[in-house]
Amino acid sequence: MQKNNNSVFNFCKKCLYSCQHPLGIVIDENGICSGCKIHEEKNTINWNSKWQELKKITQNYKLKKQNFYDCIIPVTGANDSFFVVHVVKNLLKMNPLLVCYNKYWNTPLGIKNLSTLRTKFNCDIIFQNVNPIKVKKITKATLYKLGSIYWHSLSGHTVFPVQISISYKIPLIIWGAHQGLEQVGMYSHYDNVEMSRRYRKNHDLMGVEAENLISSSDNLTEGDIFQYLYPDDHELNKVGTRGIYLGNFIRWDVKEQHEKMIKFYNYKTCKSNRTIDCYDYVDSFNYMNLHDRIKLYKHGFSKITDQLCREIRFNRIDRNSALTMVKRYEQRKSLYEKNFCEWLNINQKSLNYLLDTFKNNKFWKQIDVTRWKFKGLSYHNENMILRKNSAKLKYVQNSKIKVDAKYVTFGKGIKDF
Amino acid sequence: MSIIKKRLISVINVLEKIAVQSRSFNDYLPIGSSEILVENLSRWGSDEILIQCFDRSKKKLGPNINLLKKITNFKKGTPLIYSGGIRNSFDALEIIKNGADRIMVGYSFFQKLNYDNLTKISNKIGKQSLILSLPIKINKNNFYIYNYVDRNLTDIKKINFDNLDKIVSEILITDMYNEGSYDRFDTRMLKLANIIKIPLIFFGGITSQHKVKKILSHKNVSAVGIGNSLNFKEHAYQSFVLQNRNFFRKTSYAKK
Repeated sequence: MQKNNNSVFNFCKKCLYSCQHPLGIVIDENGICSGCKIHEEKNTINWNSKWQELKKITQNYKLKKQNFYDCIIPVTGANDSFFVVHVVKNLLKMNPLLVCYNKYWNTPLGIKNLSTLRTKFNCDIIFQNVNPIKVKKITKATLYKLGSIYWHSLSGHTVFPVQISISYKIPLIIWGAHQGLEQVGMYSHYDNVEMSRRYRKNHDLMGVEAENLISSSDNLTEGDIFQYLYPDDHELNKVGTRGIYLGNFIRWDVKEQHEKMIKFYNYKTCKSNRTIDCYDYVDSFNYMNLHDRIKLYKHGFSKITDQLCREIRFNRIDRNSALTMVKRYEQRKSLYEKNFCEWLNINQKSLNYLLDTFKNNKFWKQIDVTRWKFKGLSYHNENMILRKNSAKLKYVQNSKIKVDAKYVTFGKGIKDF
Repeated sequence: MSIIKKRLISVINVLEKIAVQSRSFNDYLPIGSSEILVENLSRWGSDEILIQCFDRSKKKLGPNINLLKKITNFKKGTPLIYSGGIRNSFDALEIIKNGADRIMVGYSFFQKLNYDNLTKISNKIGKQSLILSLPIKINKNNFYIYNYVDRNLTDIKKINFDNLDKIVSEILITDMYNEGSYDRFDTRMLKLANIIKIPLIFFGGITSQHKVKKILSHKNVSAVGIGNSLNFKEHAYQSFVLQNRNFFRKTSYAKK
């Protein structure tokens, strides 16, 4: 029975998103969200013509001398990294410089994947290792202020490639897919949207740039955050820095792409406790655990909802089965929190207490001091008959992370996988 | 020969609480926070920013004063035009008090072609602060004002522009069919610049250098409005200025 489908929880008829999506979403008069509408473009676009468009853009950046870099690719040990490097290096025949921000919560799997990227694609890679003491200070500040442990990682991952573009004078940065386009249909594929400082601040950094952190936290100084400062507009203009998204030019299908990368390059995957997807964020101990738990607290849904909305749109799972899956997984235990508490030097009880203060009362009702009732999106989205899981979604799991595994702070390669 | 500089107005469309891309005012894509958009456009050196809250009149919500209060902290001296939900001179004054430099009125005027209400607003805040918005559809070479709340058309010939000249400082003409399109602005709209003696701003589907040049070359056009495409690239505003440097003043970050 439908519990609450008023305008506060207006759900898309096709996927599982509601109008409460933190990136913003528009649900039209027919009850279809902007994300589903833009996804439909994938079936009508002439992708050959789009590919030619990409070749034309990148051609301008290919250097005649082969001893320098044509472009920059931001990589992690997971997600789209392999596919982007594969496209740029093997299909566009460019010479990329890989750049990687060290988030310090690396899994052995992520380190192994990074090592494979370097060796199998024969690419140079630059790591940015910000002083871990500063990273911890920033993480504490953003945890208290924004309820986010991931701000430093998102900030570092999105600013480091831009800083390298300026200092090495390599104007072109190539990203995978645009998150806003893929999830909520923020742009059409025809818009050819590019990286921007505004999008980064608004959506990646929750409206808070590094300089804003100083003013809101007494413990941080300019010296702590300078590595996260976005380059000045003059500098960007001088070098001509631009960041393009391959998702505008290639029919982006993360699951299919990952499976190709497993087959071609032995990309390592593993099971997560809070989702069925084995491919996303295998490089981080925290993304699919503590960060995902916080997402559920603040936004009323977790990463599995994002992943299954994507799969609904690709017709690989039906809406009912996806909702059943979400209910089964989204409140599962977040693992490796002990590692995080040790790393940040806080105790688990303090962390839990702090995180409770970020529970959004739109989605959580407090019963007593320690007990809460979840009233998030999946709770309100019960306007259909639930049934046992009939999904045929299958993921390749070719590795696993031990329960007692530790953060790999620095690593060149792991032999055990 | 130097010419008088014209303005490039950055347009932000707001639906409920978020800034959106709009296509013909009936299909929307989310963009994000209006405050951060305003902050960004101000940093880029935008001549003026127009905020259009186009669901306010339809839902009879009045002007979005809360949004305005938030936005004004981010505009950093950039002139701001507010539009949406304005019913009377009291609303107009509230908007000015809360940080907008000018207001734009549409529906409350063309619903009944009510000059009295418009005159009252003009008397209260001054002609220089008042812009009239006319969303136009062309049908068989005739111009019609599109009423987006009631979805009906009014022949533009019914408007006495001589009277309006004393009340409003500029008129924003929106190409309704092509709003949000890639450069499909219908240049037949420029005929209006021969009929109307009040300075005009054109908006809707203007994205190319060629179109901007054609529009701004007309003597009676004071500005063009650009919306969606300012969100697609870094320094999109500066690119427009550079492409049309004869018409616009230099922005702070534009290349020489």
